[in-house]
Amino acid sequence: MKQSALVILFAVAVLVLWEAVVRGMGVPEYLLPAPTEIGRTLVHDLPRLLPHVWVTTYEALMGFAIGAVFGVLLAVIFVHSRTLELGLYPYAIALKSVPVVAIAPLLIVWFGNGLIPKVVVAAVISFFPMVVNTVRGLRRVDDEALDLFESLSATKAQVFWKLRVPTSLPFVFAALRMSSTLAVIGAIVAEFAGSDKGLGFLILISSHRLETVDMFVGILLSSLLGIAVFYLVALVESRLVTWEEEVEAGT
Amino acid sequence: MQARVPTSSTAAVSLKDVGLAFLARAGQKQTEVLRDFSLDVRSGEFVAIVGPSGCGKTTLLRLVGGLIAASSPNCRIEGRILVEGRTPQEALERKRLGFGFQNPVLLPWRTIRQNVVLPFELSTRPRHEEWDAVDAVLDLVGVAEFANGYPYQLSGGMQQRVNIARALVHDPPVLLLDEPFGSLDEVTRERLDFALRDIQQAKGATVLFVTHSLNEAVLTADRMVVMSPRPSQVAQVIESSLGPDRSQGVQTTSTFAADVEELRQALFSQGV
Repeated sequence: MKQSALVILFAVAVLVLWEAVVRGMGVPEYLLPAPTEIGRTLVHDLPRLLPHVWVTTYEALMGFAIGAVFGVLLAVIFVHSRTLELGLYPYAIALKSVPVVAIAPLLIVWFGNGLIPKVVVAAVISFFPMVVNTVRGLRRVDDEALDLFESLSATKAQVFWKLRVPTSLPFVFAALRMSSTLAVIGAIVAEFAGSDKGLGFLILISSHRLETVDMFVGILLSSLLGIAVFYLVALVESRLVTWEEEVEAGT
Repeated sequence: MQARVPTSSTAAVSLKDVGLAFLARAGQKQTEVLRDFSLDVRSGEFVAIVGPSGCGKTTLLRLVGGLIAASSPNCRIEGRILVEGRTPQEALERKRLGFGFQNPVLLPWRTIRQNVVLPFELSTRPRHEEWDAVDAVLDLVGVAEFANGYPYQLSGGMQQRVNIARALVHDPPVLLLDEPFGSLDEVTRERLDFALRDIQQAKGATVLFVTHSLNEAVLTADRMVVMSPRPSQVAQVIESSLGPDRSQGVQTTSTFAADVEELRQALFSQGV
């Protein structure tokens, strides 16, 4: 409670200072708009802005879901087959080091200006943290716990569902938290490469037109979207993983 | 005193000339852990196993528990050969063993009750009788009040009680305990030793108890088996001079002290 009061206090202080500088020194709006102007546009133009928010949300969540599902699937395959892991893991790492910004234009060529390239980029960018951390989680199983299951003649399926899956959940959620915000970034980057709607489009087009207020609004809404999906995942996690402190995602 | 090895049918655990070696890795020699190891444990008997560090006490338990296979196939539990090829039938029978590990190995996402029901759950869907057995055993080990709590809410000693409860819940004829109280403080440990002895007497269970503590061995066991260094054999077997009922205060008797001393001498002669 005390900390959140401090956080709000600092935010208010910064905004007041910002407003004072802009008004006092007469900074032109196309360089730095005043916070009140940004706020006014946000409220006033909401009907114009919301469709953009919705488009980016949709792209990011679709990509996130696809990336997460395939990431977990590949992790499960890796854990069960040493051969596949040894053969494919280097490719996964190599693919991971290709910057998404670099492949987005190619995807536009392949799939056009529509929904698909955005979903693909968001999926690709969420995919790798999911693979790496799910593998880590599934491998985290304690040797004595395996002995326990073995001494009770557990089947392979029982070991997987009753031991490996719950053990990996904190790691899976650490990855989900990370991937959810990455998916939003992926969708916006793909919109930069070519689109006619979405928050990325809003930011890019207002940059061309020097409509700086709209840019700030776009940036603000993108951040809020990222924070929203992050907390959505964290909320689900806090309901499902009640037994362990937070795990940091590795990449 | 070498252990006699009759092929009596009353033995709950019978090992006769069992050998065990871990396979050599590249550039390393094969490690022989057990050689011609023979031991009979009577049904309902509490046997403590002591020996020099690294002599294979844990390995012995894992062998009896079916977690590893012997190099020679003469290990029997309740008259059945354990290691020559595990048929599904044998796998089912193996479920009857109770294994208590060094660490409590409680699943953190399950409540205490859900942890203890695991041995049932892995073979069948637990029904009314099974849950009753869980509640009864939690009561027996003295953690009934935490039944719906989670492992992290329990102290180390309480977690070990749950460990024992889970090993006991399905009424295994043989209970294998691998130094379960090793990490606890002296007082808690002694309290749990007495509790374990009481429970074993009440249930008539056969117990193989690996321990490093001489006091603990004398306090709990009917017989103490001293193992030799690797490759291990039974070096000496000491019969307890204490009666079957052990109660607080027994540690201060001269009989107790004499048994501890005899055990100490036996261990010293193994070069500990």
